[in-house]
Amino acid sequence: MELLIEILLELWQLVVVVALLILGYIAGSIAERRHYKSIIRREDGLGDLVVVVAKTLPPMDAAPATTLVRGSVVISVDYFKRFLARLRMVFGGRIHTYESLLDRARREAILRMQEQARDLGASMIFNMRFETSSISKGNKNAVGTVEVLAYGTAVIPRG
Amino acid sequence: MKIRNVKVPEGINVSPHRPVADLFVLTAGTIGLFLALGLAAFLIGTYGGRYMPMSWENALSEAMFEKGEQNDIPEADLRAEAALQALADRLAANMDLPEDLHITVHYLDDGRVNALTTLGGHIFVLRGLVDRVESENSLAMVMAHEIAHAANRDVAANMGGALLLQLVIGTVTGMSPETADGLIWGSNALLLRQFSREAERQADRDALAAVAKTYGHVAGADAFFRILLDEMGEAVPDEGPEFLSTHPLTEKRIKELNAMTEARGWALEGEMTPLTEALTGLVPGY
Repeated sequence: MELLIEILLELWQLVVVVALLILGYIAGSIAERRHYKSIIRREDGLGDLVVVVAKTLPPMDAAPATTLVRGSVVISVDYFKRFLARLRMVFGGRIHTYESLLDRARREAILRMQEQARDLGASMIFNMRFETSSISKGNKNAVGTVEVLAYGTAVIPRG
Repeated sequence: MKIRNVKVPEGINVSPHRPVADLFVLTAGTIGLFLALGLAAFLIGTYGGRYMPMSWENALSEAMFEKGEQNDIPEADLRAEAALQALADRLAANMDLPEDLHITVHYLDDGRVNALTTLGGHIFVLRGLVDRVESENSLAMVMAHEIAHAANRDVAANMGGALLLQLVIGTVTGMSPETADGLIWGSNALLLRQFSREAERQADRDALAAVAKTYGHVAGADAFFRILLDEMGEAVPDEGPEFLSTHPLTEKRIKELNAMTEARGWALEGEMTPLTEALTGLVPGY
């Protein structure tokens, strides 16, 4: 009897894992789809605020004002993606589930930086750079969370 | 000139994938990996147990079973034990035993019809069995069967296999050894049972050969199985499918023994040896 209870307890853990997987998959998929929709729409809207990685400004008639703009985002992987990534780590190969995670984070960071620049009346951002860091790093049981920071110099035409 | 950012193309940084299909494939792969690991551990344990030096098994047995001193064993039980030991020695002389294996018989005042073997050649014979058999020949068959288990190192092999399997299950799932152990023995560990059935068949064959050699015929050898059938007829009408049972179906065992007797040309009929006085009229003691 005790043994049966113990085995049921072990099984219960399995049930919890499966429930979290399903929850993670559904919630994660919905969140990702919505996020991509929003990213693509906003990228379109901010398309004329040009972002370049060049370090020097193109020649201009009048010296523009410049200022630092930055956009940062913290994004977390869901349970399903982490589970899949862990399994992937056993066999090797591309961790697809993390690819979309980082792609979303980088694009969102650029968008936030662009939004800040637009508020300042900037026409373009140059010398754009990324910083990526893992917040959960070293914390074994934490769900993977990354911060992506995009920063650059906003060019604000005088006029 | 109006310039715009290039529209970010989709599907390059995030390659198309099917996460759910991935999950199933990877999970199946992981489970397969662990099953293979478990099987390997079981086989290594089984072979390790079977082929470890007999002296190790004896040492293990000494370490595991403390010799309890009992002073109040009735005289009759001691005489019965001595008679059983003498019978075992006679049978063992006609069997192929590892050099360091010494058969020690223990008589147990227990009404169940059974005999069992543990590590180090210790064989337990229960009063219920001695009560039920009608001749020494029948008792000899059962005891030779148990001696064969000891000689074939089946107990050590089973324990070794179960131990390593338990280790793997415990390591992989984080279960306590007790739970893992319960899972192995409690559930129908099909693997273990298949092995066990093979061991039973081999022990049957070895035992029959020993009986034939000792008595010159195999009369009475099947009595134990008939008794088993009898008992089961009362308790469980249906033995269940063979692959779920540790022992081959009793009917099948009798058939196999008959076939072996015929093939070897052993006499089916012969003079039955009665039980010695020490083994008759045993009564429940204290």
